[in-house]
Amino acid sequence: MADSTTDLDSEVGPYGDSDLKRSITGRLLFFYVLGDVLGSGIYVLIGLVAGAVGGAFWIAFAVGVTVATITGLAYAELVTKYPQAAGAALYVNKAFRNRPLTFLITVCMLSASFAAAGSLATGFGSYFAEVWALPPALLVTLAFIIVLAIVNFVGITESVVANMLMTFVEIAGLLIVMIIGVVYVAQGNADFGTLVDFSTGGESPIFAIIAGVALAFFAMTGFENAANVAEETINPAKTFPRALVGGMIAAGVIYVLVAMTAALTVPTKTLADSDAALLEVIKAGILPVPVGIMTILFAVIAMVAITNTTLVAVVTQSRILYGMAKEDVVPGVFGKIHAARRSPWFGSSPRPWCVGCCWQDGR
Amino acid sequence: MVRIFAAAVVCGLLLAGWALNTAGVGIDVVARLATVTVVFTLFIYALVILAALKLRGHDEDDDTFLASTPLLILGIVGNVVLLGYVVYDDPFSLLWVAALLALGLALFVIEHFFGKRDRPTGRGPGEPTTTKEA
Repeated sequence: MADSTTDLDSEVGPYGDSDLKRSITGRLLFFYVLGDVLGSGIYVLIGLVAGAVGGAFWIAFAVGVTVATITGLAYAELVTKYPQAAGAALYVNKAFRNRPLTFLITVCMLSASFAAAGSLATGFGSYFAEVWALPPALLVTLAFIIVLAIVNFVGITESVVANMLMTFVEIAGLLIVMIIGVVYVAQGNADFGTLVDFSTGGESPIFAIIAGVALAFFAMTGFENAANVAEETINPAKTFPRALVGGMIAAGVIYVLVAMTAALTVPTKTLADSDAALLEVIKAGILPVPVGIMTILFAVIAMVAITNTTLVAVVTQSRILYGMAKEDVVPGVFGKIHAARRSPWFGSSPRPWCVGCCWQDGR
Repeated sequence: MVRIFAAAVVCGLLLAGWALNTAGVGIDVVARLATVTVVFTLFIYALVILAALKLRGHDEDDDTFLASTPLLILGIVGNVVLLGYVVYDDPFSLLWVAALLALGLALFVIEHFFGKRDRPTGRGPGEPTTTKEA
């Protein structure tokens, strides 16, 4: 029985299930996952991870990737079993049939999104100050959140092209850092001893790594969004787990290489003390490009990256609230969105179709 | 309305951080909010892994992907250990966690006592309304 197009939790497309083409291949899904995981957590938190562990902080990212990937396996199992039930709240509800627990999970998802947006906005403010230091940081961060709320309202977030472009910019920034690392090593300047240096201030290295992992974890989240496209994936039972794990490991490798580059090229204390730590790698002036220009360019890249991830958080918030309103767990005024809006339980059929189309056009 | 509320909550968090710093309680807003995010996320992930284990044996066929059980148990342990350490290392983060949870609870209370019913009849809270249950 075909479902209404405005049904809250409907995971079927506007034309019924038979019209949902399975168009997403394993390779497409791999890049989708990679784009989702490679968020701006690394732009914003890398200094803190360095401060927690010392020069060996790449280990924190490696451990964080491993724990997150194991969680990804659980998502892969649930997604392939219940492709229409995407989302932690619905899995928990299915498993435990406990209303307070389901409500708690939903509030946790919403709260995580609020806190993440706040952290990212503050990071945005730090990179913004590198380009224009005049406005007070608080004003910049508040304005950033308000502008994103307006962008979300206008509906620009539905543009898959904009999303993809910002993801490319995000990855380009990390590639620049890795290139700097390669050049630095090739110049023979790298002191690899840094990579096993634990500056923990007397604490055991194990605790230092755990502290770093907890922060690095922030950079690994986002993979759960891939559950949205399970229905459009070709042969999901085989493709989805491989693409999900592959994408997360690839993201993890990139993070580890970026962390190693930062550790080799910049003193750990400088990274830890900086509000825009990844920029310190650029300021080290290793590439034969004017540092001033590179700094501003990279700050802009970082701001685009942070905007991309924060936009996802902002969209997530409104969708969760919408869903909660429809379920009568928050005031109904949050459910008043115009009929073209999709389910907040991360189900958005037009987006995956467009991803498929855009990638196919690009080939 | 929902976007105004969401933006207001995030701005509230930012203003709270600024106010604390102005009052001399030096906090690193990026780190504190990242810690709060991670606390919630680790809890969610641990429960999702538990849900996967609980749903073993249900709705499975020959094609179903099943993750390695020892790995999943390791995942729960990893998430819980990280969660425990994060709270041990930054206990004040729990204040922020509690404030956000309280906000969610407040919305529920408001809806429970003053709201109108939007949920489709015949379905309880939290149950999906899709007609295409696997």
